[in-house]
Amino acid sequence: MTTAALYLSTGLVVFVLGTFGLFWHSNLVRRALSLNFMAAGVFLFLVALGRRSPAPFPDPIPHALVLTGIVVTVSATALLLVLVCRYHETAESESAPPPPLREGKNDANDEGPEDNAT
Amino acid sequence: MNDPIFIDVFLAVGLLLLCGFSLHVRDLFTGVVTFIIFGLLMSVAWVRMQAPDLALAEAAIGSGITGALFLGALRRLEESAPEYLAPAGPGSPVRHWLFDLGIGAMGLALYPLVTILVPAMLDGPPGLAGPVSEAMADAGARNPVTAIILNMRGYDTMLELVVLLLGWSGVCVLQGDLGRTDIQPATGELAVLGAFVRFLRHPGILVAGYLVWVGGDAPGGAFQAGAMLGGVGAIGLMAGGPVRPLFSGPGVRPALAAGAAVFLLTGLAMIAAGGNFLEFRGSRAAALLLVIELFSTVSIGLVLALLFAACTFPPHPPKGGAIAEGNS
Repeated sequence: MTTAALYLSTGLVVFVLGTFGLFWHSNLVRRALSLNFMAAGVFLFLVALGRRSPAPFPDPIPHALVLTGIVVTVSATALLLVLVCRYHETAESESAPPPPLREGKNDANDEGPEDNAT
Repeated sequence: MNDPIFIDVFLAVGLLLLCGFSLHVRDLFTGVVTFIIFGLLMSVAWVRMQAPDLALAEAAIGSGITGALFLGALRRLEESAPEYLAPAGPGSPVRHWLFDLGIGAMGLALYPLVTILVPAMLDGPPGLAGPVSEAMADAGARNPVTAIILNMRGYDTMLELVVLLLGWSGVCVLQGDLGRTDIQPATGELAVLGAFVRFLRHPGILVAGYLVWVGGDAPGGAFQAGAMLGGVGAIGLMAGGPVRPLFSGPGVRPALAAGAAVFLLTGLAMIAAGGNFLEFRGSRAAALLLVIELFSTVSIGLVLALLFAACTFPPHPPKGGAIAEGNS
């Protein structure tokens, strides 16, 4: 098993774990974190794919793409986090009851009695 | 191929464990710190994959700046949504167990499966390393990644600078103070940090300049250097003091736009000179790329520092605004 194959599979699994976290958690900061893990998985995968060329040095195109990706990810993350912060601040200041964001929003399958109550 | 593969196995397992732990742990702060460690391990993995440019970028941006953004946001959410960050979150234990089960099942079941399937993916046609090394002759940079970023795929990079600007303007709209870049000053207890910044700023700027200069020939370039500047700026903004006026003066917005604008104008000048848009060739290429990189570095550093500030500081100073008034 080569180094490229190892990182290729690691990238795939990190991506899947990040996707799982993104859909499971309802905490918005955790979702942003999961998105970042997904991005890291994609980057690992892409660069590992670039190592399949038989040349003595790896294919630099994926490196450039991933460098672009890292910078785009950081600006998207910043936008996302400011969005989350503003969401909580405005929900607080306008005294509107914030929607249930934390865990427990979608666990009707875990807690049957609540399901019956509604 | 002769490298000891156990290092890679160690790294891969470490990456997976850190990813799983960061998503699993109930204390969000621990999760974020684990994410930063994950990023550092990623940058070692980039080195193992012979991608030193990415290792620099990952350590500086992917792990450093992103980690700072998360920590800043957590600090800010402490005030507005404290229950949101409680270590023993209010979710049911059953749910937490199910999550761990899912993560473990995916990690354990998927990994062998993928490892079997992966060699097929590596059998595809060879990449573009060959054409790139042919085009390197008059690309204006000897580092292939820099040549691709600024010359061969210049469109991408110019639009990437625009994406950074868009991110910043989105943040400005959300913060409700478009055009206002004055930031709530830090309190006096950060005096030690201020001294640290005074100590750090000149070496930081020097390292950033070196990274830009060396980017044409060796790993480095505008993004790594910009992240360096952004890091210095972020610490400076936290500490207050001499760095802060740099981020609230009238020249901030022109400086923010300078990277994309210089890139675009240089690209257009190529048309005027008889070439194609964003196509830098011949003896002038190296100098043009360096000019673009210098302006981009300043813009990237400024954007990253301001994004950090936006994540960390609420737009309006709290009610005891004496500090805010005194410093502005």
